[in-house]
Amino acid sequence: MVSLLRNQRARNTLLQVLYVGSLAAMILACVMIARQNLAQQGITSGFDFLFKSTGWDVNFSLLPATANDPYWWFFLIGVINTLFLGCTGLFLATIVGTIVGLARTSSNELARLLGRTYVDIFRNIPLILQVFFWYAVITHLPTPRAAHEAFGMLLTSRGLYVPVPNVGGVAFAAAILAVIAAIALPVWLGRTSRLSQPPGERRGIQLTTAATALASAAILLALGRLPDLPLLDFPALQGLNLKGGLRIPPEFSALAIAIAIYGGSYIAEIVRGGFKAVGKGQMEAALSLGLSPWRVFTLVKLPLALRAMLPILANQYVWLMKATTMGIAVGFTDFFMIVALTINHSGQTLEAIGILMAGFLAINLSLAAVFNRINKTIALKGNQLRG
Amino acid sequence: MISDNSVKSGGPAVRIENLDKYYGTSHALRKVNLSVERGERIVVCGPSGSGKSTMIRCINRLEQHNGGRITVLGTELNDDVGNIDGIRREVGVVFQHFNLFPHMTVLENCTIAPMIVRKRPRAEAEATARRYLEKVRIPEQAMKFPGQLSGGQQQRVAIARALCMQPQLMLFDEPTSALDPEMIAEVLDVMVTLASEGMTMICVTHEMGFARRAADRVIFMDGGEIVEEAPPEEFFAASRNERTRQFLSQVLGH
Repeated sequence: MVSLLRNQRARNTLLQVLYVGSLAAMILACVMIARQNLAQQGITSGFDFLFKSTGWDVNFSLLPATANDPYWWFFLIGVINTLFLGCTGLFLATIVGTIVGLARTSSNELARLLGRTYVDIFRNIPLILQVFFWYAVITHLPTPRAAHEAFGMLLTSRGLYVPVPNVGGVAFAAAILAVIAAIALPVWLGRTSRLSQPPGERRGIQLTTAATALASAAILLALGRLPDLPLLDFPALQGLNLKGGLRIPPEFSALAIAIAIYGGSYIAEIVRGGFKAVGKGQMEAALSLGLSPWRVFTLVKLPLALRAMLPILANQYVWLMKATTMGIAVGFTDFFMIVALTINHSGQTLEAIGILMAGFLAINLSLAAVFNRINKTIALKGNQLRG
Repeated sequence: MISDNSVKSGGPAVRIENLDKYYGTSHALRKVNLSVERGERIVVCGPSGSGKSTMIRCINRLEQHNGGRITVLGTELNDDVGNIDGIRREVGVVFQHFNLFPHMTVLENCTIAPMIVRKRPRAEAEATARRYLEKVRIPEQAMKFPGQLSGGQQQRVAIARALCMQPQLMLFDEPTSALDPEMIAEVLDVMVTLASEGMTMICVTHEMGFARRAADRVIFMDGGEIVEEAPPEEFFAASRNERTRQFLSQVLGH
């Protein structure tokens, strides 16, 4: 027995068994205590509530929603709102971060100073304060009567009103997919047929594909057009209020701007680090071959910097996606707020929080998986010499 | 405009007159004068910090000189971007740390500049690249990435990459200093072949064997100045200069 305890492998196995055993016991105890407490309070646990109608409403939804819809539909709305806010925020933050990051690596002293000031300010103010700040700014914009107008869009204290096409939902979604295909297919064709076809012929095929996809998008829009209405629905003042178009509520704008500006300051540092990681030698070699500074940037500096940035950028994106839960602070019906409202109204705390956590895990693990995949595809092959 | 910037034939390959270079307050090059004829092979040596790398880096504007004149292949190197581009097209550089593009295959490393700068069609650029890879004796590595090659192989790819631009002048900045001893020979062999084919070369190196075999002239630099220049036999056998003799005893002594 003593000799068995002195055996390293036996010891490790024993520790593993103890660890897994105590973990399982803890989980079991938690579940049992929770069930007992819920039973005492007269709350039936389970997921039946998902199919009951909510009886309350959401202030922003990309899908049709009424108080008669069931909880699961509201959860879906929450997830889509979170994804919409997250994607908008990440997209804007990436643009801000790229510009500020490039300014920070610029040879221009003023640009560097501005970039550093930006990062110092916005990285060091808590995100929630920034959300409140932008929310205050937006709600102090002019009333609908004195709205700022640009390109048919109206900016007011009640939100941003944008024109929308009078097109059926399915046809509109299909048209968007067709536009994406018009961009993606030629790129994909260009990559796969790089060696097999002469360049002139390849360009012809790419153009034809893009044109076909765009034409089908136009046809889809025309077919899905709602009868007796103009193609675009412009927002306009009617009485004291604005009618028509899509209203982007101040809550959404405040969150998107805050995430863009706060996230942008972090992404700027990632961008700066990525560009700094590119060896000076590679740039000198490219210049020595007679490549123009622009070519050196696009062919050597940017591809190498992107490879250095991507892993950290993926982390940052996951972080910012979680930051969308700030929605509850200003009352944007993101996934978290829907869950919080559900708990208030239905009392199904554990189930709702379970769904929330599972939802965020699914979103962020997918995001991470996509980035890992990209990282693997573009990773530099072989050993890298630093110099 | 293009003819204005194109590099002329005739005259010396490189003429450096009263070249001055400062890094902040430190005086890296002090009134250096050097003329290199076409087809000449020059070896530049000297202790570290003597300004030899700085001098050859000035020849294609990787460093900007602060005084004096540099004329490369008949074109003066000044602030005219057209002149700088024209000179860089005609001058190949091989670096100590190879500086290959790690995200491109060996073949892409060799074809990218000819295709973009010289506007060669892909097929022609690839044929040229394969010919030069053959010349540096690694044709079979064309589809590999730099990180998958040994140091010696990488440096030979770097030489092939520079040659693919069909330059009139090659600059070598300590091409063997980052290599393991057993790989130095394979790189030097390629350089000797290149020299025997009449390429104009300026090599910063401590490989005195290479200087003996391939150089027309050896230049010794110290403290930002050219201290001595002589044909290799004379340089190694009968140097008149105290500093040169001291340096030689250090590099040849062991």
